[in-house]
Parts: sequence; C-alpha cells; structure tokens
Amino acid sequence: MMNIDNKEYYNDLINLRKQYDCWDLSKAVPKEDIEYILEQVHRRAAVKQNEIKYKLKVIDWSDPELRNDIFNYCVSKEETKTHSNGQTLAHWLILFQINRDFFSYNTRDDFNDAMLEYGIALDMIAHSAASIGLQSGFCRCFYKGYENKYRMFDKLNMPNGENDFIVAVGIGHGIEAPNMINPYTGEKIKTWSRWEPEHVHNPKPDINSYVEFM
Amino acid sequence: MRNNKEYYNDLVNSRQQYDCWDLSKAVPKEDIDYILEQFHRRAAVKQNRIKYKINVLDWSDPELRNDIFNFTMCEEDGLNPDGTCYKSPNAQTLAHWILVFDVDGNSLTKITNNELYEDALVEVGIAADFISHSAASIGLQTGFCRCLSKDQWKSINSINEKLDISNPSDKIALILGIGHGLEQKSMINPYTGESVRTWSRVLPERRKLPMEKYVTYYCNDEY
Repeated sequence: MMNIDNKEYYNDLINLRKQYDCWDLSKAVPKEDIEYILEQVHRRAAVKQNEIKYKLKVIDWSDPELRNDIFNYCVSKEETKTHSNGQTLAHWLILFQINRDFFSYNTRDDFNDAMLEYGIALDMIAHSAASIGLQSGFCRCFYKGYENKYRMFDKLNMPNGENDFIVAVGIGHGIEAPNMINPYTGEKIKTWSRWEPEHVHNPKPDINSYVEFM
Repeated sequence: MRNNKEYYNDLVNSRQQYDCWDLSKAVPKEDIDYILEQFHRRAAVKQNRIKYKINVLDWSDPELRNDIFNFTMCEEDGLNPDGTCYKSPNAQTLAHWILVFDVDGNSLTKITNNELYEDALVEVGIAADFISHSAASIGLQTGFCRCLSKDQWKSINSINEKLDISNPSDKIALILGIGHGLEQKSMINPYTGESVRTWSRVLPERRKLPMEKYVTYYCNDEY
C-alpha cells in the first residue's frame, strides 16, 4: 500500500468537498462514476456488525417528472419564507430510505444506529465524489404538504412514504452560480446558498464551544 | 505524483475498525488537535448549527476511562460457563484517546423536536467518518462504539458526575477511540491490569449484504 501519511493530499481532498446547490447539467456524469462512488461506500463505509440499515435509490434525469417532484418535495417552508434546494437538481441524486427488509427498527437504539450510519455513508459519498472531481450537496429539508408526493413515493417504491425518506445527496458538476434552470419546468431557481451564504450569515461557532478536552 | 483518486483509495483502505491498542506508543495531543481542527473546518453541518458536544479524553483519569469501558460492556445472547450472561467488552474505548459525542445533553443547539434529533445523529455520523479518515491520514487508527449499557450504574453515575452527561445511555450518540491500533486478540486494561478479549478478532463478522440488495438505480441504461 502507498504511504497515506500525507497531510497535503488529505488537505487537498477535504478542501475539494463543499456543499453545492447549483449544477452545470451541460456536462455529463457517466453512470460509471456513480458506481465507483457507491462501490467505495459498499466496500469501506463503517457499518455496525455489517448490517445495512438503508436502501439507496440512485436517480438520474431519465424521468424528469420524478426529479421535479423530488425537487418540490425537498423544499424548506418557514413562516416567512420558502426556499428550494437546488442540491436535488444535480446530475444524479441518491436518496436514503430506511431499510426495513434487512434490519428491524424495533428500538430507539436501532433507529439511532441507523441515523449515524446514514451520516457515515453520506460523508464517504461526498469525499469519494470529490476524489474524482465531482461535487455534492446534502438535503434534509422536506415539505410534507407537497401535493404530488404520493406519485413520487409510488415511483420510488416507498410504501411508507415520508416516514422512510431520510436524506438526499446530489452529485454532479457543481458551479458557484446564483441561480440555475430547472430542466423540467424551464424556470430559473434561486440557489439560496449563494444569496444567503451560511458562512457569512451563520458561521460555525468556535471549536472550543463544543469540543472539551478532559 | 498520485492523483486524488489514488490517494483516496489508499486512505479509505487504511481505515478499518480497531479494538486493540498499543498503549506503549504515545499519541500527542497535537495529533488530536490536528484531527479536530480539520473536522471543525470542513465537516458538513446543516446550517452550521452544531448539535453535539464532543468530550475528548486521554488516560489522565484512569478510573473514568475504566468506567467508560465498563459502560460499553454489553450483554450478548450467550452464557458464561458459570451460567451468568456473557458480556462482550468493547476495547475501542481503551484507545489512547476517546471522543464522546453527547447529543441532546450539552449540545450548543438544543434538540427541540425529532427532526433536529435525526439531524444531530446523521451529523455525528458525518463527523465520525470525517474524523476516522483524518486520523488515517496521519497514520492513526479508530474504533467506533455504540454499545451503551443501561444498567452499569457505577459507570453511569461516574459519567454523569465527571462529564456532566445525565442519562448517558440516551445522550451519548457514539464513542470513538483513536490511537495506534493493533490486530490482536487481547490487550491489557491499564486500570485493572486484566486482559480484555477483543472480540472482533475472535468472532467472525457478519458479511455485508450484496450491494444490489440495497442499491436500486432509476436511470437510463444508455449511459
């Protein structure tokens, strides 16, 4: 094995990963790239006792209506404003669904194990993508009042619907633009992270406020 | 010169679960500082709202470390020869350093609903994966532990008192050991001097499901 003890490489890799919500859909992302990313996750992501607790739905743009439904479902609606999440318009979208076929969600501990492992897999997906020059964007905002959600859940074969839809991650050629066109509607959507960037409006707290050496 | 893909492959291959440690080799605090700085700078956090607190422990309080080790001693189905229930130790928690992730106890962002609680757990997973790869990038190993006892009362009281985590079986989302890992079947618990069986080297792991059982593509086959 090659020497991995190289801070420069690691720094480069983690600096490549950041949250994107706008995509250059004119450039293709072949299925082989997504297969490569998922093979890394399958082969190496940490899973307690090797019990897989999620199902992954991997979706390109071959059904634009489905993609538009997912886009409309992944909306944050607050009292004063609504914002869409362009992460879900990426070239490819991976949805995490609770896997009730192979794991019994009997206790709160089972559920907690699963949520943690969704996070582990998400982090691996994002860094695997970065290692081959692709960007990613996480989304966990859901508008449960979306009128066509049942059509979407039917197509995705998710009989438990919103109860089993945990998180989505878009993968593709990200761009730092203030808006993009939704290919289904032809309408321009505002990519709010460029208008209201978190690092400006809501920076992370100081590390010492949540990490304590004992 | 390697490219990022080759480097990433080497990095992910170097990360595996450890539960036995060579405590004769030191892991300086600077290494843990480096790992946590990387994590703080680059790990994904929804809307930058930190939903956990991380307690970082070395071996300066051996009694507390032993209490945490006992806290992760979980009952298995089997019985000991004397008829008592077999408890499997999780020596991940005997590593040079451990990170104890406290969710919903002392986190900066208060967990006020189930959605935030789910967010917090997913983000602890993201953090744990990030930290384990940061550790691998400087030649350290990691071991995850989420077996948390509900009846080891001495341990529970000690964690409550010293880490200010009430009801730790519910509030602790993960304990992550970091150090110089060893692929051995046993190690000595420095507090008791007793040998601890590192069960992952003794019991065969279950195999993962084949990928096609849990990954479904909805795509155009022309790709």
